Amino acid sequence: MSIVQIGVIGLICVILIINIRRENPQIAVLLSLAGGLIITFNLMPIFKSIIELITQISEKIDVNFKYISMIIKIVGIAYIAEFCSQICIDAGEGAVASKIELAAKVFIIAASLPVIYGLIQTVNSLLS
Amino acid sequence: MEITIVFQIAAVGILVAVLNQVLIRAGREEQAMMTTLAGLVVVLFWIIQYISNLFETVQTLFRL
Amino acid sequence: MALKILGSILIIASSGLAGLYFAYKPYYRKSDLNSFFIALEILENEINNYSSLIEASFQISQKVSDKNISEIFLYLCEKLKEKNGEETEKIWTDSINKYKSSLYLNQEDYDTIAGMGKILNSFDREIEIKNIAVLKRYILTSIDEINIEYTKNRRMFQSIGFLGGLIIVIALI
Repeated sequence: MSIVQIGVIGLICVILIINIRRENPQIAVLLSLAGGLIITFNLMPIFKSIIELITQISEKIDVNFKYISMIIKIVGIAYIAEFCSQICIDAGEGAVASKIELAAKVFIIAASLPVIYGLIQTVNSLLS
Repeated sequence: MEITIVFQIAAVGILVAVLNQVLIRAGREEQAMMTTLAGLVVVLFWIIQYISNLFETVQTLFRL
Repeated sequence: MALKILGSILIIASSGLAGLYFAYKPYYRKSDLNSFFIALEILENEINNYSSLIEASFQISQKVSDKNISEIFLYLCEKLKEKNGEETEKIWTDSINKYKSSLYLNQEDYDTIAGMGKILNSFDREIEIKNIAVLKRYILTSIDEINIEYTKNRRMFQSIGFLGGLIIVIALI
């Protein structure tokens, strides 16, 4: 699916949402959610091939695989958090959106802690 | 997962809004609220399947 | 694809027709009540002229324009002519029940009308006329209530029928 189709899907969704938001705001939120889901779902195959390419490159470069997987995990966490928090903001619930972002920050720190620990150990062993 | 679901949701939304107005005009406000709620439940039912599908895919993809 | 279009047209048409049925039901009930009112007037007239119930019901069946109600009174007349020895009340309720399905009256209306059977063909003219007056008043108040409700509910049921069918089609498409 090319960028043109995704752009058109987005435009159609926006036109429908604007017309429905005044009479039925509940359905407008669900409509924007559905539009986002469709676009994201159609991007998944491309994402999958990108990630496979990155893992192949990382094997060639002889980097420890867990670092690459940590980066990919962090990208995934950030992406899902942004998806959900933006829909919350559009629905008018900024508080819930900021809680989702807070959760994303916490999870990212938790995911990257082993690597930071390993880095500090390496620096320590180098210095001592 | 194509764009037909978006058109279905939009059509249900507009029809439920019209039905809402008709019932309020006829004086039956409780039934108007019930139909709005029912339309919401039906649309939610469709969307939840899509959400679970997508987020499962994302989860398997990024957990790597 | 053609099957889907056919199915959706079927669903919309059937629910639209159901909506129309509920929308116009009070209207038909009102016209049935009106015809019954005319029948009661003729009955009162005939009782005032000392005619028997057989003659009176025959006259009513000839003069009332609504087919079903005139058939009720014709049936009543036939049954009375047989002179089987049954009570008038039973014959009255029998003849009403026979044509119950083709009329649009309420259950409450039927109970009130069937209650009149007790005093039909009794020897006391005064009581007959008073009971008929009570029934006529009941019919007039019912017609007033129907008028108020009908203007409010007709639009509503028509719209509900059509829109409900449309929503079901879109949900199942």
